[in-house]
Amino acid sequence: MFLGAEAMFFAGLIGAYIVFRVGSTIWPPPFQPRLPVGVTGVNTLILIASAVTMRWSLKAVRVNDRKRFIRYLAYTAVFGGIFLLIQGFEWLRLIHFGLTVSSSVYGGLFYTLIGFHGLHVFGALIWLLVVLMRAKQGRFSRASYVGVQTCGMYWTFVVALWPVLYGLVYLY
Amino acid sequence: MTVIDRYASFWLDKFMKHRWIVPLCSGLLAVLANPLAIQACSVCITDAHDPTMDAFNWSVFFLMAAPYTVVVSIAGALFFGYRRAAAKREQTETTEPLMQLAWNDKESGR
Repeated sequence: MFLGAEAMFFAGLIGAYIVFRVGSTIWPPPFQPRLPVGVTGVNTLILIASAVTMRWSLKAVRVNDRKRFIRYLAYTAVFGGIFLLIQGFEWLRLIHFGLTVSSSVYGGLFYTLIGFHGLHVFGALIWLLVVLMRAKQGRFSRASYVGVQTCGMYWTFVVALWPVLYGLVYLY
Repeated sequence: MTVIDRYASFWLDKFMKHRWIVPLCSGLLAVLANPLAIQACSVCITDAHDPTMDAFNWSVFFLMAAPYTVVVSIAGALFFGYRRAAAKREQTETTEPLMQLAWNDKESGR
């Protein structure tokens, strides 16, 4: 239910983006910096890798392999952290080049859409770190791992959303 | 009074009994005189193939499809989750005994 509501929230933002993007004959608008497609493409791969490690960690907890479970969970958190760091660095560069929320509709839409996704990844990362901490305390086992499962679902959601946003905002 | 006059007067009398018809007809005539006021499509404000209209149409199409996509995704996840759980249950519920009890063999005289 929560993930459905989140999906509809992003659908609303994407709908607004489509109105401005398809309605404009020139995009990006003149005198606005171009988005870093290459670096963000690599960042996309990092985020997808984090979803793979999350899946492996879930597989490990299902067979009670505690060592692999914690290791893959930590890899997921590291990949998520790297994604956010690169995004933050790219944002700083874009602000330096003059792309701000108030510079144009282009800037406003970019920071709203990508910013909300970044915020969601940040929230998911905090949740993941809490799960990792609890995993180290031995709170999860083959019989009881609902906490990991729900965190994994949310993480998969934010990862699955990113290629859609990347394709729409950076490539289209 | 001719036959036609009488006929017209009869129907006018009948018509005037329902007084609400007069303002209704006047309103409809006024609206028909100004076709823009009765335009059904709220986004058909420009010519065909106009980028703004295309943008609105694509956005509406996307937002219309989004809830169905969400519901199908959740249903798919539940379906595959159920299938996985059923397969797992089948694996664990085998007919083989979990352990061989030694006294069973002894008592049966094997």
